[in-house]
Amino acid sequence: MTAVVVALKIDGRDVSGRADETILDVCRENKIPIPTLCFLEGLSGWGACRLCLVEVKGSNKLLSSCVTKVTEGMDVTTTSPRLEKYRRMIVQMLFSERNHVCSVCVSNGHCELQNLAQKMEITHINIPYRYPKLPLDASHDLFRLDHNRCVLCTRCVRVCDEIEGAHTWDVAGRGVESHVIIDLDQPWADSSSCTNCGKCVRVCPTGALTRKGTGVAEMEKDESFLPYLTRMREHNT
Amino acid sequence: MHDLLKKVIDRNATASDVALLEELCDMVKSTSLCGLGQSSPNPVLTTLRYFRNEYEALVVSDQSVPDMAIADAKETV
Repeated sequence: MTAVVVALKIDGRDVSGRADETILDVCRENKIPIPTLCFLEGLSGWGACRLCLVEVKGSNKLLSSCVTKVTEGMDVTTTSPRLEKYRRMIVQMLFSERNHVCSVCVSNGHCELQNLAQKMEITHINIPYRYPKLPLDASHDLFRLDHNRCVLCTRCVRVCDEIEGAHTWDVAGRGVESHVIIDLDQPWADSSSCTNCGKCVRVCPTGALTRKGTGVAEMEKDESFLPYLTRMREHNT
Repeated sequence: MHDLLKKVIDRNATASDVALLEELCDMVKSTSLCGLGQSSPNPVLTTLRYFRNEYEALVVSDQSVPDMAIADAKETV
């Protein structure tokens, strides 16, 4: 099958990409930075974090670039004062939603949410904190789940379903009550489908999923295995 | 949003709370994926547009908040 190549404009620059690529893919190829949180190379697009929103001429809505395919003649703007304002607010809302206390977090210094806040120079949160009382699941022998640090990016859900094929993780609840669950909302140790592979821990952007035995700022993650794994499987089929 | 509206009705809100409410509504409206998110801030936004004087009547003065804090808040918005 030959790939259809389309020409489009991103931030005034003429670029080209394959028709099956998303705006984000083309931006990454052309070194145009777009902040992302739920997106991870090797996993399917989700479009939940709303950080990768871009303006497309001709559409009155903002489109998330990780799930929007490129089309011929598209005119995309990736940064504008309006978009930056929204992105700052989204990160602030993520911080105010749960108890993200960096100073005592095992992922301090290796956290994607923290990196985003630093890049956007967010020094304090204007939105009142919610301080929800959330549980912590440390029943598993190797890993720990802390709902307080979860940003509901669903990377763990997707990696478990698409790569490992176990589908141990899922999201339960609606709106502000949403949270990730294991199997039928049971303790991690009682899960019958979990294969203890640890992929979910490696892709988690924050300190929600961590290895046991790590102290403050000691949890370093490595997601580089994912794109290779996906590409290798594509070759085999 | 609901908390902020409640604050206004309880006469506890300041002008900066109303500004935050307006910004929040605008952001939810433009960044939402589904139709519910895109339209649910509309009642708040339209009341803010047509009945702003009623909001202002309920707002308590910003005097209790130190000027520095307001200046900081404005800077980061």
